[in-house]
Amino acid sequence: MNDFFTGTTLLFTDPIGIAVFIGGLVGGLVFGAIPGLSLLTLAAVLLPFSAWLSPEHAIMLYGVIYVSGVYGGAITAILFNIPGSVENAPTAFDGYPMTRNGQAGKAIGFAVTCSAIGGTISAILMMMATAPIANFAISTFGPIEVFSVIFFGLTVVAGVGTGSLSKGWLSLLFGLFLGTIGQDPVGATPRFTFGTLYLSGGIGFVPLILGFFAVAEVFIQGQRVASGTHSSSKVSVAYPSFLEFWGMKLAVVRSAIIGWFCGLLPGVGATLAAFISYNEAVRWSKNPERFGKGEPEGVVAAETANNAATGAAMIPLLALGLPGGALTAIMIGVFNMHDMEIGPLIMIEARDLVWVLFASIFWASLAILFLGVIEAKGIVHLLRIPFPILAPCILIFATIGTYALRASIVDIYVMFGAGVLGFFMRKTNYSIPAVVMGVILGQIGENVFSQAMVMVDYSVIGLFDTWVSSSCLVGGVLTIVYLLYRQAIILVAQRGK
Amino acid sequence: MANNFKAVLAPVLWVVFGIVGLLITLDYMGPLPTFELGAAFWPQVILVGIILVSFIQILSIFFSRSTTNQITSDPLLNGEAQSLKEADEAVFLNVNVRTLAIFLLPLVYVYGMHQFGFFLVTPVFLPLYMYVMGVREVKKIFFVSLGFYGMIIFLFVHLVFTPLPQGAGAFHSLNGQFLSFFQ
Repeated sequence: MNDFFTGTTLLFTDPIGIAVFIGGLVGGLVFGAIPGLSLLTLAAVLLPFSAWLSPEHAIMLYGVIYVSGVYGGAITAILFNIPGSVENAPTAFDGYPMTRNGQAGKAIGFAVTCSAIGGTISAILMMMATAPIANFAISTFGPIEVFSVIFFGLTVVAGVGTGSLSKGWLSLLFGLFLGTIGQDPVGATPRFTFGTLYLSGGIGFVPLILGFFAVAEVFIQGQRVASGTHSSSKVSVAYPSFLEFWGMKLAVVRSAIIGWFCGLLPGVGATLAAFISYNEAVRWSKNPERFGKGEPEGVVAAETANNAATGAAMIPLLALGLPGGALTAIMIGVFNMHDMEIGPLIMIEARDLVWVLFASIFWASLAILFLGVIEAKGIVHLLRIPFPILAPCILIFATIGTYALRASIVDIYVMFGAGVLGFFMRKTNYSIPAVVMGVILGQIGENVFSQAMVMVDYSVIGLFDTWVSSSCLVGGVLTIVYLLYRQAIILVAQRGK
Repeated sequence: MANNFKAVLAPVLWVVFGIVGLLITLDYMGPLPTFELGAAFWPQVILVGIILVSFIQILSIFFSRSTTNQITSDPLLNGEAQSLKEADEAVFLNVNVRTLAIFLLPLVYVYGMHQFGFFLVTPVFLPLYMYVMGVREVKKIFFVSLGFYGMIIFLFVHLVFTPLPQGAGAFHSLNGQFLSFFQ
């Protein structure tokens, strides 16, 4: 507790510290929200300047940016179907339909509050036991366990955003197929590249996500405008009531736990957290068919988990020197710039600095709540801008966001291709969330599957060796059997009528 | 009968997609030095999955007598969303010139950006797309385009040096001059 107070005092007794904290908070929110201005852009732009700051302020700045940026991406996902970053994509699955149903205020309210709760829980757990938890996570979760968790998660995706189970499965499998385009993760053998250099690098997540969500949405609304059936989303600033929040308590706790454990895993972090947590929300819901159509629990699950992953990602970073993603890798650079080697000794050699980071993540998570409430009341009014004016702006933002990543014009063509495909898939009742989850979890899944199979000497039985992997694999198979059984019952009932 | 044919067409196309995909994977089948299952194993599992699910879909179409009802009505959507969905389905194939323009203009924009660069094509695309979308007030189109273009330049070019397409040939250097001027 004393360490926490020391960290907090170092943060807030200095006007420069307060200015850096607020600047990082607002900067993270803005850069996280606008496609093309990702968290990484801000982190990279600020890296040279951080050398001029004291070590405490520099490392605090990056902690704050990380927390607020992950939340920032939810706003555009909810209001305009444009996820600020990949980990905010599941927020759009239900957040945007809520906006279309005139519940934008509620969706943002849930996102703000759950981001704050997820981030705060994560920060508290991080402060309580960094070193033992890092050792436990790294020794318990290897490729076999990560693969089984992904398998378990994917088995429920089929029911999201479509009334037809077979179309859901086809959407998921199509997403998994898209994820195989490019070089295979073991031997770098080109697959489905047709000899093109571009495809050998695989299809980027960002062009696909922006195409499937933002561009497809512009086309769908554009078609409504052209046919005279377009109606604007109702602007509502109504916040969720306490009772509505209370109804989400189990979802929040479950998502915080999932997000936190996923955040511990190096290389996957917040993205896996948001997708797996969303899948589990569908699995445990009494009304799974509502997901993808404006179910608040979808927003709650995704936002709690991706923010819970932020604090957890600091644990392997600080205790073992393993970055969970690109931003935590940049943080290693910040430590190095101030002549500190990150790893197990950091807790002894730079104890105060580590506690400044912990305190900054804790206070930033709480600050999101207050800043988010104020921001939400104002930002919802962006929906008053008529869609014909908004449409070209959305397309230009999506174009810049896609091009900025790899400076590749082909990425922009891919984005518009995904937009046209997304338009037709949505019109024919296929599930876009399932396609996106297939692409993202499939690429991670194949990578860990290859490692896992080598580890178990290509024996499938070996995948069931640990309690984590066996329970996830059995749970996944049971889920598939249950979904098929439920579908068969529906078909028999329809035939009876 | 016609409804059944329409419903079966999509899964049949999926089966064809799966078979073609499997044939392509034959090119790189076989074990790798560090991975016995080879590069084709994972995509083959997925493609076989696509074929299996498509067959299940075909079977369920023939098994169920009321496929069309299942597709069009969705009790989970509220009144407005349901009426929008119905309206969407009604106009799905009703393609007019304006609809085509809404779809084609962004593709022309990307091609134009490839050839002439972001700085030259965007000020043309912005007002044109607003017009196609139904905005008819010239003042509004002009000021919104100017304001948004200025904001983009300030934010992405002046502030964070985001790379933007510069076009080809002579336009590449022209866009480069724009870039250095704005920065």
